[in-house]
Amino acid sequence: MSPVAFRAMGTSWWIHCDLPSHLAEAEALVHTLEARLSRFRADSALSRLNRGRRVTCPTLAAVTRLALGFRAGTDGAFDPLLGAELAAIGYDRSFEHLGARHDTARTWSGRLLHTYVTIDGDEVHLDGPGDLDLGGLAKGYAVDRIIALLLERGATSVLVDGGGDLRGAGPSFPIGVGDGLVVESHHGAIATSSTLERRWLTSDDHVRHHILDPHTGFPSDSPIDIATVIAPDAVTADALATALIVAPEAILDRLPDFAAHALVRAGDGHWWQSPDAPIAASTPMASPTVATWSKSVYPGHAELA
Amino acid sequence: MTDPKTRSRLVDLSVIATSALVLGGAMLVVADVDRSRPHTPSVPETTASVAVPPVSGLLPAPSPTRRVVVVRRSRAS
Repeated sequence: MSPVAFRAMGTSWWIHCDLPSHLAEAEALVHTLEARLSRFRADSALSRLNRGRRVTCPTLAAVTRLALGFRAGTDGAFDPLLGAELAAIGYDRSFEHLGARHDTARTWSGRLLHTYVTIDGDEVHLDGPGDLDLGGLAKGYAVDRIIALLLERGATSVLVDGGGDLRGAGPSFPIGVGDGLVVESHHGAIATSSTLERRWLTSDDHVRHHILDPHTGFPSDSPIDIATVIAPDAVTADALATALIVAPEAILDRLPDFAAHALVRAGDGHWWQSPDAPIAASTPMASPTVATWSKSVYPGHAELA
Repeated sequence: MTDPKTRSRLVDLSVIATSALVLGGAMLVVADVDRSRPHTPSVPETTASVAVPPVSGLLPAPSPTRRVVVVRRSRAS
């Protein structure tokens, strides 16, 4: 039965494939990756690394390598070593269990916990007090792995949505972005980050969100509240979407290095795009199959999950 | 019986009176029409507000031309 929809990694997943018999295998892959890469599962390889500072896991090593590459490529705007800081400001459990109002038992002073990562083969080693957090990057990685798996199994038409990280293969699918705009999936994977999602209120009425500024350890105070990136793969699109919120000017300049494009919404509600971004107003011939932004943008429209 | 000269003056007078009535009525009609036409409201001069990109190098995104029907709506992270 295609598509298949399920929950994993704290978000909703949706996979369309013209070989429906392999959808169960694709879903199992997501759950396997979650079991290894989740910060919120005590038995995951990532949690064991953060507790014991050393773990051997090929998947964790591969995704950590990618994460460190994006940290270098974005001059630190994307930083996977803010796990402890994120927990300290209140994001210390899966967002599904966090609630709209939440305080943490720990007091956060804003001090950054400088930590170094060493990868030796399949072994990952942490040196310092901070924690590794592969959050959205793991999602993008899973989307890319599903595409590879289903193509390898012989599929010719695939579309994966991992909680807003989207990638298609085969025929092009129109993907809704921004406010009534469309990107064709043959241009690449699409990921959206936003300071308007995964936010909560502390008991003393401070708004927190999950995108931290690596220079302060506090939620980023960005002029951009939504960033959508189109990149050759989902893991790149996800990392750059986060980095674009944190350091818009620097990352905008670097998008060509990653063959990436962006669509952003400024705090005043206006939408802007990087030069030559393959973004168009939707037409009757290109109405989106999947849209990456929340309900407020498309009030009253049909939703068939 | 009035003499021809007096009759001629009376005719002139009646023509002038009729013309004055017609002209006055016409002016009233014009004034009424003028009063009922929509007046341009006086608004203070304003400068058009131009959106400023949050970061230099960005271009305005296209404006949506139609409302779209979304089959599945995902959320950002």
